[in-house]
Amino acid sequence: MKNFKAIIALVLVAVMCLALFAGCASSAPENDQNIQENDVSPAPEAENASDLEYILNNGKMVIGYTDYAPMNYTDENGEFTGFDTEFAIAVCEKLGVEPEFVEINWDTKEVELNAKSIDCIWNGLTIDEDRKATMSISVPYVKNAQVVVVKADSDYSSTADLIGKTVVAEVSSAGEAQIIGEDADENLAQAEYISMAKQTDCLVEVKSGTADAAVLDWTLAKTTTGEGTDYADLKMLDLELASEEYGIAFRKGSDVTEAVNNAIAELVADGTLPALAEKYGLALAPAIAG
Amino acid sequence: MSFSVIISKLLESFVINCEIFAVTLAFALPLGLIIAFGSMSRFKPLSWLTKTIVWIIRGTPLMLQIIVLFYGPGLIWNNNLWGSGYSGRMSACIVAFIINYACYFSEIYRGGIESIAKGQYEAGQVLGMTKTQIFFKVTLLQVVKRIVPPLGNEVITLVKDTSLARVIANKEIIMMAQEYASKGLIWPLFSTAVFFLVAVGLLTLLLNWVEKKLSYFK
Repeated sequence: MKNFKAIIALVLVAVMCLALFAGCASSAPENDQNIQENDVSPAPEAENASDLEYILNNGKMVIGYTDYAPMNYTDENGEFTGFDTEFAIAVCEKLGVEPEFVEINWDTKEVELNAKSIDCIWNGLTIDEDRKATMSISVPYVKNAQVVVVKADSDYSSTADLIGKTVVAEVSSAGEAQIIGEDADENLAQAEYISMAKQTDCLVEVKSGTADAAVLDWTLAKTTTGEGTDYADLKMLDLELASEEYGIAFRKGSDVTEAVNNAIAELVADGTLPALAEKYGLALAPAIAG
Repeated sequence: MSFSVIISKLLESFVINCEIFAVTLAFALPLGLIIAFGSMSRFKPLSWLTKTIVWIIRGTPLMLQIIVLFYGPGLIWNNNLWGSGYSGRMSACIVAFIINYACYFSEIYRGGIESIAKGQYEAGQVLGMTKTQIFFKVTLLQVVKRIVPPLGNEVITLVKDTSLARVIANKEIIMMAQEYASKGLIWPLFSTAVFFLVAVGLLTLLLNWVEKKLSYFK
């Protein structure tokens, strides 16, 4: 009996070790890339497994987003809307697929994309070199800037007033780059920085006084702060830290990017996209506005 | 970024988890005993009050308690008593953990104390011992060894619960790993399991040892 127990224990240990090693192997970044490339984005000649066909076969495009006005949000009537929402629906119509919106955690968006639990990240994603290296990104479609949000009754008027204060921004966002990045604002670099999981968390921090200022997207700040909004007691400082552009991110090497780029060009030509931008108070990126 | 840099960064943030763990235990273990006496009190208003508090704390998610405790004062009374910066976040988080765990511990203590047969109290009284003497010399000795397994359970849960500190942006190990994930590097997130497994493994050995030491009636 004792022997029998020992054998079972040994077998269990062996199985656990194997599972552990298998887990480690597939989570190593190089292997991940290989698996992805073999799975979804082979050379263009091997048509039978292209990412575009994968989406067309599914009949739907799964769109990862975070709740973020004015891009993707729920309006007063409880309806899901926003610039990116309407934009994505229009593009999916051109592609002949159904859009399916899935709310994600912004800090694990690449994991979701690679795990194929979403097909694209369409949520005011700022285009930068890091992201271009790890994902396939569409043409820039909207122009944005980084701004500083503080309490409306505070005395802060420039970033120089924020030296030594607590400043928040979303983790690995363009706002964060203005505080701790290589080309950070020299005053903000001297503030105490705390990273948040979401941009909207930053607004809660400033409103509750647990942080002095937040660095976030102009598009978000413009529609959610100031009079007549949820954050009426917050204001934007009168300065722009960095201008940037938004793009849609797909899996690295995906051929969906090109199809979506073509659809965007059509939507600009027929006036749909400029009308949407005007509706939400946004500015189209120069690359597509012509 | 090299493997060793990432591991040392993860280790650095795991210190935050360990800090929350140690401070929470140090304060919640005694506080739990006080709460246990409160809920066993024969003064009804006091026992009702403590039981209501225990109900609220055990009945709501710890994650919510951390958020309410940290943002609540600033949002409700426009008076952020935690101050801005790292230390305020850390204190708010630890206070939430202490209150939460003290409530769970109190129920374990209560169970342990009430499990001692009534005959033993009566025997003590017959022998002319005072109430305090009975508690410390008869009850407590047996309670301590009886509650080690359920306490051990809670202690091990606490190790993993420390990762909840991230909801108010305390940069503990999971938050640090997710920052790498958001830059496209996924393996650090999975490797955090090793840190927790090692910590829990050590604790399990310690708890086994304590249990053996306490088997003084065998």
